[in-house]
Amino acid sequence: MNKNWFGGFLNNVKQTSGSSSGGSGVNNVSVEPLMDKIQDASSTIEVKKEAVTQLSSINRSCHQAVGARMSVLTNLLEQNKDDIELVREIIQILTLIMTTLPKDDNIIEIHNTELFISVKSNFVVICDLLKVNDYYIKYYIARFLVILIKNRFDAVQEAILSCPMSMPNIMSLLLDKREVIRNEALLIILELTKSNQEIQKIVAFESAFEILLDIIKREGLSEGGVIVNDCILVLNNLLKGNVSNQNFFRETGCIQGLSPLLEVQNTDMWILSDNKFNIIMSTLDIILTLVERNNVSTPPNQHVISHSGIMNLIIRLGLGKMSSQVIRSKSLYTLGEIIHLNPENISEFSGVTMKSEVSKQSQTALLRLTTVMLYSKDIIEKAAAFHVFKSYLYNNEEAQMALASTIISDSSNNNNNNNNNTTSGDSTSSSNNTNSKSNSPIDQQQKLQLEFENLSIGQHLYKALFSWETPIQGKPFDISCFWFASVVLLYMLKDSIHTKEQLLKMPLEVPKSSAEAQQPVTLFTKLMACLMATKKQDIDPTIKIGLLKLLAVWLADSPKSIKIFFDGNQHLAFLVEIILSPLPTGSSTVGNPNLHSHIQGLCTLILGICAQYMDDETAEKNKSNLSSIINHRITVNTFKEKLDSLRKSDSFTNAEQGEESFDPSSTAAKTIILYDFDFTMFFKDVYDKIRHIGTNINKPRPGKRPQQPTTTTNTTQQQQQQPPSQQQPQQQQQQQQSSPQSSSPLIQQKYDHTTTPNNNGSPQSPPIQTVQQLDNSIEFNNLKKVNNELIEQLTGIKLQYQQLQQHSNQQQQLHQNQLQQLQQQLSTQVPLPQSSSPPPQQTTSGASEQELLQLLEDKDKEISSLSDAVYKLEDIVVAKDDQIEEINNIIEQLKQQLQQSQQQQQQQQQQQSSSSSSPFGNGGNGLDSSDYFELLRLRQENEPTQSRVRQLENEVSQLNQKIIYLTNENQLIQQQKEDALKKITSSPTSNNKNEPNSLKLAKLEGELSEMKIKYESLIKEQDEVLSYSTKIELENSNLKNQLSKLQQ
Amino acid sequence: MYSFLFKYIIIGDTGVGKSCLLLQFTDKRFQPVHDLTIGVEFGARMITIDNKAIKLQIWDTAGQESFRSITRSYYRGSAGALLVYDITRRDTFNHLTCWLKDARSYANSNMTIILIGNKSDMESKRAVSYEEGRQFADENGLIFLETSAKTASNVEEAFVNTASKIYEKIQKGDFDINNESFGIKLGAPTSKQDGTDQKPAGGGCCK
Repeated sequence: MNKNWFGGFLNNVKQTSGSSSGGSGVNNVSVEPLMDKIQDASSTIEVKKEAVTQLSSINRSCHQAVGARMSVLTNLLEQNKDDIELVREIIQILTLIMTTLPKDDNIIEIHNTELFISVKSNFVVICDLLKVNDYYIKYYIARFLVILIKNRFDAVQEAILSCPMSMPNIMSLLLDKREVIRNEALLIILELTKSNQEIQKIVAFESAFEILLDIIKREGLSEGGVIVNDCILVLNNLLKGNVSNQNFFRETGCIQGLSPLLEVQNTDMWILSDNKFNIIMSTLDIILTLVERNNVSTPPNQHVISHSGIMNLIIRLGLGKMSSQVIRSKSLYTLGEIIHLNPENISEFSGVTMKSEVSKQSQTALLRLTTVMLYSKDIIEKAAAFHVFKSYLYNNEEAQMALASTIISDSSNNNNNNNNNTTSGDSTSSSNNTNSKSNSPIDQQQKLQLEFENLSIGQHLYKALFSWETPIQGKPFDISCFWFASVVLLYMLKDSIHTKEQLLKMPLEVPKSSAEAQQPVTLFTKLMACLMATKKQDIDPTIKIGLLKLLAVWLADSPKSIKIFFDGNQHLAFLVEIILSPLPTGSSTVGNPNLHSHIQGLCTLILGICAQYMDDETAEKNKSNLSSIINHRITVNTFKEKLDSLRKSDSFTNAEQGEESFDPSSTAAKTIILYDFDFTMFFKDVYDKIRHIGTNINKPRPGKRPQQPTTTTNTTQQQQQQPPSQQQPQQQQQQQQSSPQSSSPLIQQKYDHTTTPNNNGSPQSPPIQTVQQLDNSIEFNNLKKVNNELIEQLTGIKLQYQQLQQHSNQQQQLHQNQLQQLQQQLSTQVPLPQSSSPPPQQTTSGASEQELLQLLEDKDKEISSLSDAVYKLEDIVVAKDDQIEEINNIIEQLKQQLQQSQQQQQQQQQQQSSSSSSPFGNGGNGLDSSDYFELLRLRQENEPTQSRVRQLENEVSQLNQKIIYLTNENQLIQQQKEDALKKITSSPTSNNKNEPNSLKLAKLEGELSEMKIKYESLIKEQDEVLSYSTKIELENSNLKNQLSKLQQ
Repeated sequence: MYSFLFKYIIIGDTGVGKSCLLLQFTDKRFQPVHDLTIGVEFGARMITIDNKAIKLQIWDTAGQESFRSITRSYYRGSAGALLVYDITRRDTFNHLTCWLKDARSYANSNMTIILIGNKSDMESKRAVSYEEGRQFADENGLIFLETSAKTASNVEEAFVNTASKIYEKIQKGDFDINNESFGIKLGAPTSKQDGTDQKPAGGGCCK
């Protein structure tokens, strides 16, 4: 229903448009009866043929009506394959109802195409009919297929893949002797092979390579016309990204078959026909396809391309006298890909020589390449030449070192011509120019040209790299010349430590005197001097970017280079000044203001590289300086910000996408591209390493006391900026525990130190001055002023430092006293078990941890000795108890003795009384006197025992006293013991009580050392300023001399 | 360069070792873990039969059902087919009739087919006996060999025996040598030489 409505609607539209185009022949009304006739089984074949013939003259308005009953026609076709006439007509009708018009929306025609393809057998029938050896059938079907492909590309591809016989039959058209059919077949295959790998493989399987190369040969190779070019395009379709086909192409020796297409005659050098131009360009495309990067078949393809002589042909196309600049450029680009990562081809290429146009001597292709890269008028050609250079140097240390060894100043050459040059220390080329006036201009030109021819690659590069320093009048400065020299040098150095070190040692000129020999000008020193000079000159910022990129690559992974970089006093300051300079806004004087952010980003990158790769020696000298610069002057935030702004720039993100392909039509090709893919990789590699630069440089350096936190003055500032470092907890702890009156003024002072140099206009990097004398003197005065200020600051700092020292000494003494007291206290305390003292704050790390550990150890020792003492005391107590018991026993014995003796006395007394009473009572006087004597005797006898009793009684009382004393003592000891126990259980607090003092001490010490470092760096700064001023004085006097000379 | 060029096609269920057989034949190495073949892959090697250099161009096809219609395009132009099954997997043997039907319907009738029972090194896991394979081959007029792509046992023979058979047929005059749709090409020693010998380096265009 829906379809009907849709069809009806379209029908109406078509009818109106069809009537306006004046439909002759069969109109819409008569289509249906004709279709009925064809469909009617009872109709004879003659009737049907008649109807078909009538149908073939339908106008456009009938497309829909015929299409709707298409099966009627296709059925008839299938049933009458042998009827050549009928087949021709039906194919024509089908073609007609699917032919689109450029101005129309063609909905019906495309719908008809879909209808046709959707019935699988239709396609089979059509392809089967290709076997029929009839010119028109083949031709019509070929055209019909072109239309099908044009209308429904994907569907036709699918249909072909599902119909095994279709492709062989289509391919057979290629072999047709009749060119018209063959050419149609080429167009079909060109379309079919565009994107589908499976069709590409099937086409290749059907011997397409061989057939196509054969057609190319028969058409006259590079002299052939558009057919040859079509064949090349099909070949490229079959090979592009298709490893299996590339293997097949190579295995069957087809790569060699391409070489005649790249051969040019002498006449072609001047005038190249359009066809030949296209053929060469397309053939180069095939070569590029064969050497595509990251493809497994590329290395063997490269091998064959080199061995079959194709590489040689391409070298000559690129560096020869070919008039077409586009072909030259594309050939060079292709050459770069042919030798990329292929040592064999690289060495093959570097051995190639060609005849010079001027000297008629043979020169290496590499030298020719250098001159093309530096002096071609076309930037695309330059870039293509650089592309070769990059492939030549990439991953090829041998080539890198060989090229590096040719880099010498070209002044030695000029000295032969101009002896005057040696007197003025200036660069040679400008004076060279002035002297040339004396000679005849033609001679001179020739001579110069010859001289130019004799320069080595390195001399060319040197010249190009530093030519901007001394602009030659009348000759506009070519920035691209400089640029490509700088990037070639960059790739000469990249990833090769040996080349870097070789160049660090190698003098640019043969030393003329022993003094020069000792401190020769090397490329590095020259480069740095050049870079420093950029701040005086108003130069193209691109030059700065080129030099900085070169420097960044040079310093990376090369501690020796970094050491030499730091040997130059102002180098670091130069970078810092650029980083801190504000971005120019609006009407900037030089170039693109956006470039400034690139310059800043690169300077920041270089600082990061220095911090990352410097060796210990350099680090010892400069790292504190560098770290304080990054942390305080630049601040970590800004540091990252500058790197990020470079990384997020358009030039960078564009380069990140991948290796650029050769596209001379793109607008980007006409300008200097700041970064390439490899540089972005380099940048990101370094970026990842220096990301935590703020924390890295805070690591305690070797040789410093570990418990001292180094360079951690502005804790508050850092805490905001740094990712959490290990030291932070300690710092916080310190701050919490240190008494406010001691810490806050100190920190305040340190803030003063760090900020003052900035306020004073950064004394390390004095204001920019002109070359003129007056300005120089002003500058000098300024410098003096700054210097004085600095000296004042220094004395201030010295005073503060002394104060600090005193303060810290006092503090130290105080703390030591406190400590001693505490220790004494502890030693008198009664000890206790070990387990009761858990180590406090074990999480604190670094210096404080060790400190605390030591404290803990001390405590442990104390505790163990205390517990020993406890045991001893307990022993004593036990011993005393024993003693007391013994004494008690003795007392008991004595008491018993006493009782016994008393009893004896009583007995004696009783005896006495009884004996005395009996003589008195019984016997009379005689008994009394003897009893009395007896009594006296007894009394006498009794007396010593009584005194002994008294003695014993005394003893007992003494012993009792002793017992009381001992129990007292015992109680005291027990009390002490309890006290000690209490002390131990509360020992964390006692530890803490001890800690703030020692921590305070450590902190003070740290601050002290910080002040020392600050002071040292200030002294260094002062020295720098002084040396700078003397330099300026020197310059001044030089200028004066020159002035006086000029006046003379 | 060569007297004859034969085009081969390797067919059979997925995972029976078709790509490994090709790799063993062309590169003389075994790769236990091989990526699934997508569509077809190409390989080539030169062999000698009857003192004549014969170039073999071999298309290794994907065994998966989804690629079946694509691989059918390769039957017609092939002179020889290696029909491979896995002696440790019964189902790959059972599918042989299906493969053979395909080959008969799309290839030219003179195509030489060799039946290959691969993985003969895994005797302990054998699921199809040698006799069964032999019988199937005899019934359908195929050459038969059991091979191991891993140990290289019989791999060379599989390719060479097929080539011998094709060569035999050529001698008998079964093929129209000039019709390339049979997958056979006569080497032309006089032509095809121009592409290889190049002008020596130097000289050239720059004078």
